[in-house]
Amino acid sequence: MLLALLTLPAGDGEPGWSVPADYRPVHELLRRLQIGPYAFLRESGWRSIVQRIWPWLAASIALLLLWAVYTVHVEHLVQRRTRELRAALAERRELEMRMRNSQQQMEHLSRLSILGELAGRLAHELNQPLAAIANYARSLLRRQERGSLSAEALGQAAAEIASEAERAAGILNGIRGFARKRAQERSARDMADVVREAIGLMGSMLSQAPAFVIHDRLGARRTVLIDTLQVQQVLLNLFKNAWDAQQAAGEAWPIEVGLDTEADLCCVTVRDHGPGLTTEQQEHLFEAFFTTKPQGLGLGLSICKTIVESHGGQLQAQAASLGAGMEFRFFLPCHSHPASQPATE
Amino acid sequence: MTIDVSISVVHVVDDEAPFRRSLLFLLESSGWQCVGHASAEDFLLAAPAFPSGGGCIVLDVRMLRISGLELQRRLQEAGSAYPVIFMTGHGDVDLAVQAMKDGAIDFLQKPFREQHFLDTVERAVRLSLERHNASLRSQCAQQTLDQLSARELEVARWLALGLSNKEVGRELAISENTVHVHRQHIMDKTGAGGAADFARLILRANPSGLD
Repeated sequence: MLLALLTLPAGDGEPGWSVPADYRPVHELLRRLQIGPYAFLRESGWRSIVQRIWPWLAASIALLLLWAVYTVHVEHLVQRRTRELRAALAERRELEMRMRNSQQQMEHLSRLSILGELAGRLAHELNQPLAAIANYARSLLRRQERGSLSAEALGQAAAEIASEAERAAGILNGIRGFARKRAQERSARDMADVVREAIGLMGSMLSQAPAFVIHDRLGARRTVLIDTLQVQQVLLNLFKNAWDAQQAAGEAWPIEVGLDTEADLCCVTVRDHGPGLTTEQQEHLFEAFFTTKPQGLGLGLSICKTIVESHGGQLQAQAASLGAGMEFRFFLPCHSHPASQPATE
Repeated sequence: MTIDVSISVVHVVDDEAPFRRSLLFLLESSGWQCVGHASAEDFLLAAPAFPSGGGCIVLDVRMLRISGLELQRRLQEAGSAYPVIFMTGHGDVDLAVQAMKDGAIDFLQKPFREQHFLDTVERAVRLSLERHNASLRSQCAQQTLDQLSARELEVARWLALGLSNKEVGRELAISENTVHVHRQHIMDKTGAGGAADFARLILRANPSGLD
């Protein structure tokens, strides 16, 4: 067909076929029409760019995504660990607190049970010498009545009675020594702090702790020089009595603790809203083994009195001035130096 | 039965020496013969024979090694005639119940009223004498019965149950005459006067001898 076209006779004024000398116009035309080899010009810039670089793009996006996921994951992990750590710390703190509470509780309980144990032991130990002494004394009376009392028998019995009495005294001395073993540790304390600590102890000792109201009217002189454990023992005893009295009467009042400074004395008043006590009961209140409670040992208040007095103070009981209930009040001499902090425990 | 305190003996077993001595002193003031033992072993070692005037043992419940209850059990096994009075320094209710079940006379808690103690001792000694005499009588009756032949014993049993010679003969398939001869022999050997005496003798030797 090329031959046929090229050999076509050329007419005048008519276009004829020849070999092209220059292709530029053709390319120009094609470029303008954006076809043929210039078809790519037809497509808009972005799309072509995207089309050309999409594998790279996809790869970087994937990388970016991976990095983001990783970051989020790490952040999550950190947060979780922090939470766990915080929980563990809180748990440990709580455990420590519980241990401290139960330890204090145990100390107070064990002191009570030691008291019971001691009383039983004492009763048994003293029983034998007392029984022997009674036997000798009765025997002497019998012999005298029968007129058969010889000087020899009298001497023997008297010697035995004396030695048994000494044995009993020895037993008592041993117990006194045991009681004295714990050296008193006195420290200067803010009276209100001691009361608050005792209230805290009370809360940890009873499952349903009573409510307390503190009326702190202490002046500048609010420091006392005390054996903290012992004074806490006194406070706990008074609190427990107040609580028992109110429980018995079915009263849900808070226990009121008044703190006052009177001249050189720090005064603590524990007031309950129980049924109160009869005049006769009040008279025997501080005697050992006197109790108004069915399970009571009758030693609490007598021990309290001893403790307060050993601190140079006084413990008193009186009916509440307003309404039913009792007021137990103890005075301790104020200390001239400021309180040492923190609590020595 | 009157008690002759000079020939009866009260044994006091207590490991608490001062208390034991005080009890001995008290018993002596009432005229009792008494012996103290520092432990159950000491008493078992001494193995005192039963005194003719009766006696008893005053026993502390709690002692080292052999306890009071254990000693009581051993004495019973050995067939001792001594009645036991327990003492305790503790309120051992369970021990008291056990001791009383095992035949103790009383369970005293130290310290006790001396009058109550002395009354209890007297009661125990009296009981020991009664028991001892009963056992002596029983032994004596047994010795008497031991003289009889087996056939004579059989005849005596039937006669004691109130059967006539004739009935006994029928029971043992022997003649009335033979029974009569046996009866004569029995009366000669035991000194008994008749069927009622036979019964008394047999029962004294063995309370269930006629069952």
